[in-house]
Amino acid sequence: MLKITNLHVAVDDKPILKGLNLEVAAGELHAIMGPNGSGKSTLGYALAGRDGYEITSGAVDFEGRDLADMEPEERAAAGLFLAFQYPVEIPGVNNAYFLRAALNAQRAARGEPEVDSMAFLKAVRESLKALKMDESLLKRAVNEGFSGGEKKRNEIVQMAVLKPKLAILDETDSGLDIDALKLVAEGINRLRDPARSFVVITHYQRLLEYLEPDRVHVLSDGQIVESGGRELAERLESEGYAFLESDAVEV
Amino acid sequence: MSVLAENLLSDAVLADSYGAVRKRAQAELMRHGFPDIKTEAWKYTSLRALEKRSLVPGEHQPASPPPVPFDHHLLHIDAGRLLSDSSSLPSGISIEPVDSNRLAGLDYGNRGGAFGWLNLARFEQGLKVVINGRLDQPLMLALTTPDGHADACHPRIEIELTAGSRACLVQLDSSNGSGLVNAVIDLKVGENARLDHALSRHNGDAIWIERLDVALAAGADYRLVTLDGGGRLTRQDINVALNASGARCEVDGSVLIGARQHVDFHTAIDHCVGGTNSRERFRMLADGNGVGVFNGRIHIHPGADDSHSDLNTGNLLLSEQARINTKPELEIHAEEVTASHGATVGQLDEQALFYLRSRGLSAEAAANLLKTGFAAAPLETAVDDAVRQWLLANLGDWL
Amino acid sequence: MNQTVEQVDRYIRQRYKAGFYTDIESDRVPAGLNEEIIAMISAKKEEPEWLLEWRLKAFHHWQTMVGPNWAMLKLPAIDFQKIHYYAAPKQQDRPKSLDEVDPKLLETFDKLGVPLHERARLAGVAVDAVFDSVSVGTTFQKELAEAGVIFCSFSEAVKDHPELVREYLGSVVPYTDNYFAALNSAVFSDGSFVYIPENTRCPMELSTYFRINARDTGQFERTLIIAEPGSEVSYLEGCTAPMRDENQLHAAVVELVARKQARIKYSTVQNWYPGDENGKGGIYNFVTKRGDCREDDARISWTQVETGSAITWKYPSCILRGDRSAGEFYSVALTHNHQQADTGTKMIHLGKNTTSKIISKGISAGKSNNSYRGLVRVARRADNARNYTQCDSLLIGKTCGAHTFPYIESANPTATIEHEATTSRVGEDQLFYCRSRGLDEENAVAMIVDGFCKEVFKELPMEFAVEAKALLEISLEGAVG
Repeated sequence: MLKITNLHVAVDDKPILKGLNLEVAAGELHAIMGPNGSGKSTLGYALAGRDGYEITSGAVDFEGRDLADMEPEERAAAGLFLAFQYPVEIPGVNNAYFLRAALNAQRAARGEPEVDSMAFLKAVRESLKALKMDESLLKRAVNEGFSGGEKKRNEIVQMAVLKPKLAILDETDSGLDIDALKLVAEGINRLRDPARSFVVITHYQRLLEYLEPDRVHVLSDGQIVESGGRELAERLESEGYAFLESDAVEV
Repeated sequence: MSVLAENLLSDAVLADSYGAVRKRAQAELMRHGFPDIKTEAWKYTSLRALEKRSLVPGEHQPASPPPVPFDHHLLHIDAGRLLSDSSSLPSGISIEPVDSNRLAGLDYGNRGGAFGWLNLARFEQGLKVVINGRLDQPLMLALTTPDGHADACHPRIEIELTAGSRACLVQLDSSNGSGLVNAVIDLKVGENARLDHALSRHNGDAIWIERLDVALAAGADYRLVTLDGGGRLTRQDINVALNASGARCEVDGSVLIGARQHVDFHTAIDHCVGGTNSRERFRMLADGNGVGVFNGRIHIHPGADDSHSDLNTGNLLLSEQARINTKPELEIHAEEVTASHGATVGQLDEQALFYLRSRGLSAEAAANLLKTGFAAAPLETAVDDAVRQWLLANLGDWL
Repeated sequence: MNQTVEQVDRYIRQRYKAGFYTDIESDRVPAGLNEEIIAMISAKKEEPEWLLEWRLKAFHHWQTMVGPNWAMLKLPAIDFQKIHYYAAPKQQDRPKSLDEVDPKLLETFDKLGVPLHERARLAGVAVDAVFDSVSVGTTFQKELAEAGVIFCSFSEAVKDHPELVREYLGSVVPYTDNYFAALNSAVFSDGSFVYIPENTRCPMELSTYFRINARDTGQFERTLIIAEPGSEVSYLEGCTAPMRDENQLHAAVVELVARKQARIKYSTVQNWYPGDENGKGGIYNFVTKRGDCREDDARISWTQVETGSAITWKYPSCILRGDRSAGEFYSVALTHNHQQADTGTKMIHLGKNTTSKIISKGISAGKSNNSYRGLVRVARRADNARNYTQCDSLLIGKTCGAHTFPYIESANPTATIEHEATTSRVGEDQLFYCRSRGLDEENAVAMIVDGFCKEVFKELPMEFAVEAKALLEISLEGAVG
């Protein structure tokens, strides 16, 4: 599904990712953990194609296509989804309208017909209900006036409606209380599918308790310095990131 | 004599029952002259485009009133003269000539108000419309010019709402000619009356100068929503006087300015007495080498204690050659007042664009969505559903 | 009670404390303005020919100009022929050191809290003291010279550093700039000159204290600060005048030049005599101040506390020419009785990635009018320019006015400009809350006003922040009730 080889990314000429390697097979859920400033969000933005996140060397292969050559909307149409750490407020643009426009644009790019309005509304309503979000949110502007938790849950609603092949969740757990965290985790688990993969970027292992990660990676100073199973996340939780300092040299 | 005076004034004063009024107006205009960019209120708007026009009278077919998708009563004024059949208007709407005594008392000040004087000197047919009671349908005021119009015209309309009346006024300004339209609209909203006013304008080569003076009595409520789709040179003055306690106004507008266009909105809200409220929000989008000018003045007069006002102007520059000049002004002479204003000038939010594109929208679709969202917000305040939908549809067509 | 509050208390008990007059024999040119008077001033100052020519050009240009006629600004007719354009305390020769200065003059500055003697000098602050049209003396000159810093009166600079003066004079504010700048260029008398060499951080605060003393005279000083690449300087000016029934004119020009990576911080505590409670007397303060961030990464910051003068008309501005250069303007303007303040700034963004910040706090009381008038202009090539403006007004009483005229002009789509303004009053509930905690009304108002101005005060050098705070409180005396 996703194969990242020796990826170097610079922001404002400053190298952030320095030779990152990662392979995610279809159906897998990978967690990427790491201290602040290790390059976690940069990875998300670089994969989604944000301007200013320049791939200076290396390759990102997504289902046989080179992501570097694709515009953000082409990546979305190809099935890539980034749940933003800080979802953007868009005053004046109605939430439901936005989501439908996005879905139809993706479908058009894939040569699929426009979605049926009734089916669309039904799908959105179900997702909203599952995430315990009020339907009135649909009539409001995208993320405007949403609480922090509502914004994060809204990202999951979008993911459920857009049904990507690969979802990158950038600190979707931060700022959530335990109930909201469970709802988000359930939202992710409902979408687990042999044909769909997840990359969950997180600072804490809290969210991972409710998910079943196939692999856990530790990102430090722009590289993956350690990979393992779920036990790695638990070790990070109990020992903190400090142990990286000593281990990193040996890895 | 200046080029403008030569083009726009003739020695012969129109001989009708308004002769004295016209004579005085012409004398005032000659005394003050036309504004130039040293005139504070015209600092950013040059009249060169008007000076260069050769205005020629001609015989043209009158325009037909533009279609709108809702039921309405119609007042169609073409090149300053009433064209529609006023006998079909309901009993709550009556039409009479403007009162020359009232005109004799008007004062448009010095050269900043030159076009007010010009209108007074040259208006074709002064119409006064009195609205009494509640109108069942919007009253549509269509100001048009004949096809190919290349002359100057000076429509003059007064609309008065008697105490307790309520109406929705939909004004549509349009010309496909290359002349000058210099309109003056006087609105009087009586005690506890309410006027919802929607103004939609879209011009090509015509030069459109319009002055809207609104006077509010005690408890009167005036809501203006305006959408300007741009034009070669457009200047709109909006002056609202909150003359008695309990009066309030809301002024919202979106202005789209394209290549080779120049649109200037000057608004002034006067809190003449205390216990008055105002809110104003304007959005301008300038594209191509278009120029947008906004001057929003809030004046709280001495003694107008306990008045409250808020003004907000947001501006988007959509191209490298576009320009925006904006000035939100506050002039406060009273106590117990809250007044605030905010202004921003910027471009489409790069983060929001990326967010939309990451959800699959093309760069163009994302930009359009953001522009529409930005410009639609002021229009959303239109009270009448059908009118609001019509404004939003116009926005979609013109953006 | 802490020291600040004590100081405030002391200040509150006195009115305009700088209102005394020094009885000293003065050498004045006759009243009037013409070519001979200008030649006379130039001769008295033993100026080179080129400077007299420059003055005359400015004078001829001024004769073609008219004064500003702006909304909410009432400028009285000024009879320029009745003013004496030069007045200096009489003395034989120019004193070679401060020991030779007339003791009466030293005593005057002592009384104003600006002692010039060796033993009493303000620590860490070098002072140039200007009395009417001449500089009385400059402290710490030797110490500064060791660091390569030139700090002297403008007249001395014309004699000792003519090449610098000639290169930079009028290069930021040309004499054609405006009515009062043209007048100043024709008749300017003295002022301060500062030169900071490359990569030098000025070892102490520099300060000029302006004093108008003589009757019927105007003060027309000129200040020029040049900061070479990589240098840094903080400069402060203070001003006072005796209480008189007649209005006196003060028309100054200040030019700042900041070269690559240089930083200039310019602070003003302006306390010219404001006139009495009926609006009689007071200084007309018409000042052109402008800084030029001439090269990349230069930074100029203006901070002003304006409490004095019958009329204040000044707009300390920044021309952001160099890429990434930055301008700041922090202002507190307080008006009471019949005072008028019309002040603000201009931020002209020419270079790429330039930034500016404007924080303006206006407080109006009595029958005064207080206006913020500002311009933010982004030129077409000023990519990614950023401006943030906050303009707040506080009204005390029913008869005063607070006005805001912000001009915003943007010709570059990548620029971001944000402007916010609020007008409010000292709230009944705020006052009541303070009073229910035991403060009297005047103290409560002082506290609320102080809070309102905090963002600006924190930009002032420590010693002056205290003085500025105290000044506000005296100026507000009698504003409540």
